Amino acid sequence: MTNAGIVSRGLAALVDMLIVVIVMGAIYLGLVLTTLIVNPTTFRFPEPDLIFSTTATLAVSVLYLTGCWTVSGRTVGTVVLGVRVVDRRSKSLRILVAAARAVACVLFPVGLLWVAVDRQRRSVQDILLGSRVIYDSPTAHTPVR
Amino acid sequence: MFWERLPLIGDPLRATREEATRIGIAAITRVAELVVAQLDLTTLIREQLDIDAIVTDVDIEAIIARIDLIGLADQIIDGVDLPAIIRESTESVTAEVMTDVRTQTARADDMVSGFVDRMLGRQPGTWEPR
Repeated sequence: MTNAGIVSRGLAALVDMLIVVIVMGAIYLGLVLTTLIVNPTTFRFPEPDLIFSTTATLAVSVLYLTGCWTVSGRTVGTVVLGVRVVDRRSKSLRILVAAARAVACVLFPVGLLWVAVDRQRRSVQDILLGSRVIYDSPTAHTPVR
Repeated sequence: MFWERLPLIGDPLRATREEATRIGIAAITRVAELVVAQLDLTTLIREQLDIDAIVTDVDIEAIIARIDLIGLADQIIDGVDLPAIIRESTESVTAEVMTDVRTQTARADDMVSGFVDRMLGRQPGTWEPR
């Protein structure tokens, strides 16, 4: 089965980024409502500092990716684009591998660009952790020869 | 009838009259049915009546005003499973769009791979992982 290329994986990553942004927005909204309920008289919109926001965003991203890759190998982005993250035996990733891959993808997203160059369409993370991203849609994909 | 009030023969006379009337009506009805059955009424009406003139005189707005249109629409909507129709059509459209998006991106993957292969002077095509 052919590995998915840079376009599918890049678009899937963009969709997943959007999901993380939505989750972060929901968390912020929850924080606002909680603050309003707990202390309505002196309510002000919370202003989390940059380090806290960045850390929370990275943590949510890692948790989201790890959970999805462990459970089904599919995030929302990969479902939309019809691809799936698997290990060498085409099974879902183990949780530690998934977590390591998630951390690597979040901290070093540029590693995805290696997909365009590698003949097996592997990212840097795939090469390091032995994972693959395969086409998962029912429509058969015939690679260009 | 005065003779039906006569003693002794009055009752039989009335009964006879009623029976004769019933038989007569039945016979006339039967004859009428046979005559009607022999007639092609539809053709007869089409040929003899100016239906257009009749329809022109009909006050359609008055008829519509007497109809409970909302109730009628409710009955029709109740009879049609609109949510199921909308759901099915939405699902099929979504599935088509998703399939199209996936096919197009897979094609774009191949195009990028081919382009990079040419740039690097490699034989086009991806290697299957071992």
